[in-house]
Amino acid sequence: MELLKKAIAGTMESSDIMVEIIPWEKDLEINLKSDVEKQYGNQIRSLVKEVLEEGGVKNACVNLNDKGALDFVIKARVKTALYRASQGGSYE
Amino acid sequence: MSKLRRTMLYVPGSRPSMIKDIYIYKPDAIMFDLEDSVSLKEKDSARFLVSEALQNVDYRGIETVVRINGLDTEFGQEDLKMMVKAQPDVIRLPKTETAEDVKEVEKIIEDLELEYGIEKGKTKMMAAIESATGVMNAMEIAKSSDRLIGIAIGAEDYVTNLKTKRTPEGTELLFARCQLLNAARSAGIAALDTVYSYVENMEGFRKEVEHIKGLGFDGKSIINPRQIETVHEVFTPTVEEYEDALQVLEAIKRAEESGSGVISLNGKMIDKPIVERAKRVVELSKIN
Repeated sequence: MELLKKAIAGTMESSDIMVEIIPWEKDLEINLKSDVEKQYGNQIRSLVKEVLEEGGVKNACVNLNDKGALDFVIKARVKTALYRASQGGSYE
Repeated sequence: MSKLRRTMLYVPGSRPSMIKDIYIYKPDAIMFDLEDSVSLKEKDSARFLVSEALQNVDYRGIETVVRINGLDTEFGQEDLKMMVKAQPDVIRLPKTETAEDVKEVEKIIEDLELEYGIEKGKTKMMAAIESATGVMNAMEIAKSSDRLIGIAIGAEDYVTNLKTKRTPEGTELLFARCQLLNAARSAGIAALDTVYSYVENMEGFRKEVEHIKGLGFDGKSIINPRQIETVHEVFTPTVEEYEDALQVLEAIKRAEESGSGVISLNGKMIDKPIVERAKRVVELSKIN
Protein backbone atom coordinates (compact mmCIF):
# COMPACT_ATOMS: atom_id res chain seq x y z
CA MET A 1 0.00 0.00 0.00
CA GLU A 2 1.35 3.40 -0.99
CA LEU A 3 1.17 6.23 1.52
CA LEU A 4 0.19 9.44 -0.23
CA LYS A 5 -0.24 11.87 2.63
CA LYS A 6 0.00 12.33 6.38
CA ALA A 7 -2.98 10.88 8.25
CA ILE A 8 -4.30 10.68 11.80
CA ALA A 9 -6.73 8.24 13.42
CA GLY A 10 -8.02 7.75 16.96
CA THR A 11 -8.60 10.10 19.86
CA MET A 12 -7.05 11.06 23.19
CA GLU A 13 -9.93 9.49 25.10
CA SER A 14 -9.36 6.74 27.62
CA SER A 15 -8.97 3.25 26.06
CA ASP A 16 -8.03 4.82 22.72
CA ILE A 17 -4.80 5.61 20.90
CA MET A 18 -4.00 8.48 18.56
CA VAL A 19 -2.02 7.29 15.56
CA GLU A 20 -0.25 9.67 13.17
CA ILE A 21 1.37 8.27 10.05
CA ILE A 22 3.73 10.40 7.99
CA PRO A 23 5.11 9.04 4.72
CA TRP A 24 8.86 9.57 4.31
CA GLU A 25 11.90 8.18 2.53
CA LYS A 26 13.65 6.80 5.59
CA ASP A 27 13.14 3.45 7.31
CA LEU A 28 10.22 2.86 9.65
CA GLU A 29 10.29 4.91 12.83
CA ILE A 30 7.81 4.37 15.64
CA ASN A 31 7.55 6.93 18.45
CA LEU A 32 5.38 5.98 21.41
CA LYS A 33 3.97 8.02 24.27
CA SER A 34 2.00 5.89 26.73
CA ASP A 35 1.08 5.78 30.41
CA VAL A 36 1.82 2.08 30.29
CA GLU A 37 5.07 2.40 28.32
CA LYS A 38 7.10 0.46 30.89
CA GLN A 39 4.80 -2.57 30.94
CA TYR A 40 3.48 -2.60 27.39
CA GLY A 41 5.71 -0.31 25.30
CA ASN A 42 7.48 -3.10 23.43
CA GLN A 43 4.23 -5.00 22.87
CA ILE A 44 2.51 -1.92 21.40
CA ARG A 45 5.47 -1.15 19.11
CA SER A 46 5.65 -4.70 17.86
CA LEU A 47 1.88 -4.85 17.22
CA VAL A 48 1.98 -1.59 15.25
CA LYS A 49 4.99 -2.83 13.27
CA GLU A 50 3.15 -6.05 12.47
CA VAL A 51 0.11 -4.17 11.10
CA LEU A 52 2.34 -1.89 9.03
CA GLU A 53 4.22 -4.88 7.61
CA GLU A 54 0.96 -6.61 6.72
CA GLY A 55 0.07 -3.46 4.78
CA GLY A 56 3.48 -3.51 3.06
CA VAL A 57 4.51 -0.20 4.64
CA LYS A 58 8.29 0.13 5.06
CA ASN A 59 8.93 3.87 4.96
CA ALA A 60 6.97 5.93 7.43
CA CYS A 61 7.18 7.84 10.66
CA VAL A 62 4.50 6.69 13.10
CA ASN A 63 3.68 8.73 16.18
CA LEU A 64 1.55 7.03 18.82
CA ASN A 65 -0.14 8.60 21.84
CA ASP A 66 -1.64 5.76 23.81
CA LYS A 67 -4.35 6.12 26.43
CA GLY A 68 -4.56 2.50 27.47
CA ALA A 69 -5.90 1.03 24.23
CA LEU A 70 -6.41 -2.72 23.94
CA ASP A 71 -4.74 -4.58 21.05
CA PHE A 72 -7.86 -4.63 18.86
CA VAL A 73 -8.19 -0.84 19.19
CA ILE A 74 -4.52 -0.31 18.31
CA LYS A 75 -4.89 -2.50 15.22
CA ALA A 76 -8.08 -0.70 14.16
CA ARG A 77 -6.55 2.75 14.60
CA VAL A 78 -3.36 1.89 12.67
CA LYS A 79 -5.42 0.36 9.86
CA THR A 80 -7.63 3.47 9.74
CA ALA A 81 -4.58 5.75 9.61
CA LEU A 82 -3.14 3.63 6.77
CA TYR A 83 -6.47 3.68 4.94
CA ARG A 84 -6.56 7.47 5.19
CA ALA A 85 -2.88 7.96 4.32
CA SER A 86 -3.31 5.84 1.21
CA GLN A 87 -6.57 7.64 0.43
CA GLY A 88 -8.78 4.61 0.57
CA GLY A 89 -6.18 2.03 -0.36
CA SER A 90 -7.42 -1.48 0.26
CA TYR A 91 -5.98 -2.85 3.47
CA GLU A 92 -8.22 -5.83 4.03
CA MET B 1 -37.50 -21.97 22.35
CA SER B 2 -36.48 -19.20 19.97
CA LYS B 3 -33.58 -16.96 20.91
CA LEU B 4 -34.23 -14.30 23.53
CA ARG B 5 -34.07 -10.78 22.16
CA ARG B 6 -35.50 -8.76 25.02
CA THR B 7 -32.71 -6.19 24.95
CA MET B 8 -30.63 -5.04 22.00
CA LEU B 9 -28.07 -2.57 23.36
CA TYR B 10 -26.77 0.10 20.99
CA VAL B 11 -23.10 0.98 21.15
CA PRO B 12 -21.61 3.65 18.89
CA GLY B 13 -19.08 1.97 16.58
CA SER B 14 -16.65 4.83 17.09
CA ARG B 15 -16.13 4.49 20.87
CA PRO B 16 -13.40 2.03 21.98
CA SER B 17 -14.14 2.57 25.67
CA MET B 18 -17.72 1.35 25.21
CA ILE B 19 -17.02 -1.38 22.66
CA LYS B 20 -14.31 -3.13 24.65
CA ASP B 21 -16.41 -4.39 27.55
CA ILE B 22 -20.07 -3.79 26.71
CA TYR B 23 -20.74 -7.50 27.32
CA ILE B 24 -20.40 -7.03 31.08
CA TYR B 25 -23.94 -5.60 31.17
CA LYS B 26 -25.34 -8.86 29.72
CA PRO B 27 -27.88 -7.58 27.20
CA ASP B 28 -29.45 -10.26 24.99
CA ALA B 29 -27.81 -8.63 21.96
CA ILE B 30 -25.18 -5.96 21.33
CA MET B 31 -25.82 -3.66 18.38
CA PHE B 32 -22.69 -1.93 17.07
CA ASP B 33 -23.77 1.18 15.23
CA LEU B 34 -22.07 2.44 12.09
CA GLU B 35 -24.99 4.68 11.17
CA ASP B 36 -26.54 7.63 12.99
CA SER B 37 -24.33 7.69 16.10
CA VAL B 38 -21.15 7.92 14.01
CA SER B 39 -20.14 11.27 12.48
CA LEU B 40 -19.52 11.42 8.74
CA LYS B 41 -15.77 11.87 9.18
CA GLU B 42 -15.46 8.81 11.42
CA LYS B 43 -17.40 6.31 9.29
CA ASP B 44 -14.16 4.66 8.15
CA SER B 45 -12.63 4.42 11.63
CA ALA B 46 -15.83 2.96 13.13
CA ARG B 47 -15.84 0.29 10.45
CA PHE B 48 -12.25 -0.75 11.33
CA LEU B 49 -12.97 -0.61 15.06
CA VAL B 50 -16.11 -2.76 14.92
CA SER B 51 -14.43 -5.18 12.54
CA GLU B 52 -11.44 -5.68 14.87
CA ALA B 53 -13.71 -5.91 17.92
CA LEU B 54 -15.82 -8.65 16.33
CA GLN B 55 -12.73 -10.62 15.40
CA ASN B 56 -10.84 -10.21 18.67
CA VAL B 57 -13.15 -9.57 21.61
CA ASP B 58 -14.94 -12.47 23.31
CA TYR B 59 -18.51 -11.24 23.66
CA ARG B 60 -19.39 -14.28 25.82
CA GLY B 61 -21.94 -15.74 23.44
CA ILE B 62 -24.07 -12.57 23.34
CA GLU B 63 -25.64 -12.06 19.91
CA THR B 64 -23.76 -9.43 17.91
CA VAL B 65 -25.58 -7.14 15.48
CA VAL B 66 -24.13 -4.38 13.29
CA ARG B 67 -26.29 -1.54 12.03
CA ILE B 68 -24.82 -0.53 8.68
CA ASN B 69 -25.35 2.64 6.68
CA GLY B 70 -27.94 2.41 3.94
CA LEU B 71 -26.94 1.42 0.42
CA ASP B 72 -28.17 4.82 -0.72
CA THR B 73 -25.20 6.37 1.10
CA GLU B 74 -21.54 6.24 0.06
CA PHE B 75 -20.79 4.08 3.13
CA GLY B 76 -23.21 1.17 2.82
CA GLN B 77 -21.28 -1.00 0.37
CA GLU B 78 -18.00 -0.66 2.25
CA ASP B 79 -19.77 -1.41 5.56
CA LEU B 80 -21.12 -4.65 4.11
CA LYS B 81 -17.75 -5.63 2.66
CA MET B 82 -16.00 -5.36 6.02
CA MET B 83 -18.82 -6.57 8.22
CA VAL B 84 -19.58 -9.76 6.30
CA LYS B 85 -15.89 -10.59 6.63
CA ALA B 86 -15.89 -9.78 10.37
CA GLN B 87 -18.97 -11.98 10.82
CA PRO B 88 -21.34 -10.50 13.38
CA ASP B 89 -24.37 -12.75 13.91
CA VAL B 90 -26.70 -10.25 12.29
CA ILE B 91 -26.50 -7.25 9.95
CA ARG B 92 -29.21 -4.66 10.52
CA LEU B 93 -30.44 -2.61 7.60
CA PRO B 94 -31.60 0.91 8.39
CA LYS B 95 -34.59 2.66 6.82
CA THR B 96 -36.02 -0.35 5.00
CA GLU B 97 -38.98 0.56 2.80
CA THR B 98 -39.54 -2.37 0.45
CA ALA B 99 -38.77 -6.06 0.05
CA GLU B 100 -36.35 -5.05 -2.72
CA ASP B 101 -34.25 -3.10 -0.19
CA VAL B 102 -33.73 -6.36 1.73
CA LYS B 103 -33.12 -8.43 -1.39
CA GLU B 104 -30.52 -5.97 -2.67
CA VAL B 105 -28.51 -6.26 0.54
CA GLU B 106 -29.04 -10.02 0.65
CA LYS B 107 -27.54 -10.39 -2.84
CA ILE B 108 -24.43 -8.44 -1.83
CA ILE B 109 -24.05 -10.49 1.36
CA GLU B 110 -24.40 -13.71 -0.63
CA ASP B 111 -21.67 -12.63 -3.08
CA LEU B 112 -19.38 -11.62 -0.21
CA GLU B 113 -19.93 -14.94 1.61
CA LEU B 114 -18.89 -16.72 -1.57
CA GLU B 115 -15.83 -14.48 -1.98
CA TYR B 116 -14.72 -14.96 1.64
CA GLY B 117 -15.47 -18.69 1.79
CA ILE B 118 -18.21 -18.25 4.38
CA GLU B 119 -21.07 -20.75 4.42
CA LYS B 120 -23.98 -19.43 2.35
CA GLY B 121 -26.75 -18.05 4.55
CA LYS B 122 -24.62 -17.80 7.70
CA THR B 123 -24.92 -14.01 7.90
CA LYS B 124 -28.38 -13.19 9.23
CA MET B 125 -30.23 -9.94 8.67
CA MET B 126 -32.63 -7.63 10.47
CA ALA B 127 -34.63 -4.83 8.88
CA ALA B 128 -35.44 -1.56 10.60
CA ILE B 129 -38.63 0.09 9.40
CA GLU B 130 -38.60 3.84 9.87
CA SER B 131 -41.11 5.40 7.47
CA ALA B 132 -44.79 5.29 6.54
CA THR B 133 -43.91 3.45 3.32
CA GLY B 134 -41.94 0.87 5.28
CA VAL B 135 -44.78 0.37 7.75
CA MET B 136 -47.29 -0.13 4.93
CA ASN B 137 -44.91 -2.68 3.34
CA ALA B 138 -44.10 -4.42 6.63
CA MET B 139 -45.54 -7.77 5.55
CA GLU B 140 -43.59 -8.04 2.29
CA ILE B 141 -40.43 -6.87 4.08
CA ALA B 142 -40.86 -9.48 6.85
CA LYS B 143 -41.19 -12.26 4.28
CA SER B 144 -38.52 -11.05 1.87
CA SER B 145 -35.58 -13.21 2.95
CA ASP B 146 -34.83 -16.43 4.83
CA ARG B 147 -31.93 -14.56 6.43
CA LEU B 148 -34.24 -12.18 8.29
CA ILE B 149 -34.40 -12.93 12.01
CA GLY B 150 -36.56 -9.94 12.83
CA ILE B 151 -37.96 -6.54 11.99
CA ALA B 152 -37.68 -3.47 14.17
CA ILE B 153 -39.43 -0.16 14.29
CA GLY B 154 -37.34 3.01 14.33
CA ALA B 155 -39.70 5.57 15.80
CA GLU B 156 -37.93 8.91 15.54
CA ASP B 157 -37.69 8.94 11.76
CA TYR B 158 -41.16 7.40 11.48
CA VAL B 159 -42.97 10.05 13.56
CA THR B 160 -41.10 12.79 11.70
CA ASN B 161 -42.31 11.22 8.48
CA LEU B 162 -45.86 11.22 9.89
CA LYS B 163 -45.49 14.94 10.72
CA THR B 164 -45.93 14.35 14.43
CA LYS B 165 -43.75 13.63 17.46
CA ARG B 166 -43.49 10.97 20.13
CA THR B 167 -45.69 11.22 23.21
CA PRO B 168 -45.51 9.32 26.52
CA GLU B 169 -48.71 7.44 25.61
CA GLY B 170 -47.31 6.34 22.24
CA THR B 171 -50.68 6.68 20.47
CA GLU B 172 -48.89 7.92 17.35
CA LEU B 173 -46.94 4.63 17.21
CA LEU B 174 -49.78 2.21 17.91
CA PHE B 175 -50.66 1.51 14.29
CA ALA B 176 -47.04 1.00 13.22
CA ARG B 177 -46.27 -1.21 16.21
CA CYS B 178 -49.30 -3.43 15.57
CA GLN B 179 -48.62 -3.56 11.83
CA LEU B 180 -44.99 -4.62 12.40
CA LEU B 181 -45.93 -7.11 15.06
CA ASN B 182 -48.50 -8.82 12.85
CA ALA B 183 -46.08 -8.89 9.92
CA ALA B 184 -43.36 -10.41 12.10
CA ARG B 185 -45.66 -13.04 13.57
CA SER B 186 -47.01 -13.92 10.15
CA ALA B 187 -43.44 -14.40 8.90
CA GLY B 188 -42.37 -16.25 12.06
CA ILE B 189 -39.63 -13.77 12.96
CA ALA B 190 -38.91 -11.46 15.91
CA ALA B 191 -40.59 -8.08 16.44
CA LEU B 192 -38.42 -5.48 18.11
CA ASP B 193 -39.48 -2.15 19.48
CA THR B 194 -37.80 1.22 19.14
CA VAL B 195 -35.54 3.03 21.62
CA TYR B 196 -36.79 5.14 24.52
CA SER B 197 -34.64 8.24 24.48
CA TYR B 198 -35.27 9.76 27.93
CA VAL B 199 -32.63 7.82 29.84
CA GLU B 200 -33.38 9.59 33.14
CA ASN B 201 -37.12 8.82 33.03
CA MET B 202 -37.13 5.23 34.25
CA GLU B 203 -40.81 5.32 35.18
CA GLY B 204 -41.80 6.33 31.65
CA PHE B 205 -39.42 3.72 30.30
CA ARG B 206 -40.99 0.93 32.37
CA LYS B 207 -44.48 1.94 31.20
CA GLU B 208 -43.37 1.79 27.57
CA VAL B 209 -41.75 -1.63 28.09
CA GLU B 210 -44.94 -2.94 29.74
CA HIS B 211 -46.93 -1.54 26.84
CA ILE B 212 -44.85 -3.20 24.11
CA LYS B 213 -44.68 -6.48 26.02
CA GLY B 214 -48.47 -6.37 26.27
CA LEU B 215 -48.71 -5.86 22.51
CA GLY B 216 -46.57 -8.95 21.96
CA PHE B 217 -43.11 -7.62 21.07
CA ASP B 218 -40.05 -9.82 21.69
CA GLY B 219 -37.97 -6.96 23.01
CA LYS B 220 -36.63 -3.49 22.57
CA SER B 221 -33.61 -1.61 21.32
CA ILE B 222 -32.00 0.25 24.19
CA ILE B 223 -29.45 3.03 24.40
CA ASN B 224 -28.15 2.72 27.94
CA PRO B 225 -27.07 -0.30 30.02
CA ARG B 226 -29.19 0.91 32.94
CA GLN B 227 -32.31 0.16 30.90
CA ILE B 228 -31.47 -3.57 30.68
CA GLU B 229 -32.65 -4.60 34.13
CA THR B 230 -36.07 -3.00 33.69
CA VAL B 231 -36.72 -4.75 30.37
CA HIS B 232 -35.58 -8.12 31.66
CA GLU B 233 -37.75 -7.68 34.76
CA VAL B 234 -40.85 -6.80 32.74
CA PHE B 235 -40.27 -9.74 30.40
CA THR B 236 -39.76 -12.18 33.28
CA PRO B 237 -42.96 -13.98 34.34
CA THR B 238 -44.06 -13.37 37.95
CA VAL B 239 -44.05 -16.23 40.46
CA GLU B 240 -47.85 -16.30 40.19
CA GLU B 241 -47.73 -16.53 36.38
CA TYR B 242 -45.14 -19.31 36.65
CA GLU B 243 -47.20 -21.30 39.14
CA ASP B 244 -50.37 -20.87 37.05
CA ALA B 245 -48.49 -22.08 33.98
CA LEU B 246 -47.20 -25.14 35.85
CA GLN B 247 -50.77 -25.94 36.91
CA VAL B 248 -51.94 -25.70 33.29
CA LEU B 249 -49.19 -28.04 32.10
CA GLU B 250 -49.91 -30.48 34.91
CA ALA B 251 -53.65 -30.43 34.12
CA ILE B 252 -53.09 -31.03 30.41
CA LYS B 253 -50.69 -33.86 31.21
CA ARG B 254 -53.33 -35.54 33.39
CA ALA B 255 -55.95 -35.03 30.67
CA GLU B 256 -53.72 -36.60 28.03
CA GLU B 257 -52.98 -39.57 30.27
CA SER B 258 -56.67 -40.16 30.88
CA GLY B 259 -57.50 -39.67 27.18
CA SER B 260 -59.68 -36.65 27.85
CA GLY B 261 -59.77 -33.86 25.22
CA VAL B 262 -61.04 -30.59 26.63
CA ILE B 263 -60.34 -29.92 30.27
CA SER B 264 -60.96 -27.16 32.73
CA LEU B 265 -58.80 -25.76 35.50
CA ASN B 266 -60.27 -23.66 38.31
CA GLY B 267 -63.39 -23.15 36.22
CA LYS B 268 -61.54 -22.06 33.08
CA MET B 269 -61.38 -24.09 29.89
CA ILE B 270 -57.84 -25.09 28.96
CA ASP B 271 -57.21 -25.42 25.24
CA LYS B 272 -54.24 -25.37 22.88
CA PRO B 273 -53.37 -21.63 22.89
CA ILE B 274 -53.47 -21.54 26.68
CA VAL B 275 -51.12 -24.52 26.83
CA GLU B 276 -48.75 -22.84 24.36
CA ARG B 277 -48.69 -19.68 26.45
CA ALA B 278 -48.08 -21.71 29.61
CA LYS B 279 -45.12 -23.49 27.96
CA ARG B 280 -43.62 -20.13 27.00
CA VAL B 281 -44.05 -18.76 30.53
CA VAL B 282 -42.29 -21.81 32.00
CA GLU B 283 -39.45 -21.56 29.46
CA LEU B 284 -39.01 -17.84 30.11
CA SER B 285 -39.03 -18.43 33.87
CA LYS B 286 -36.33 -21.07 33.57
CA ILE B 287 -34.10 -18.74 31.53
CA ASN B 288 -34.48 -16.00 34.08
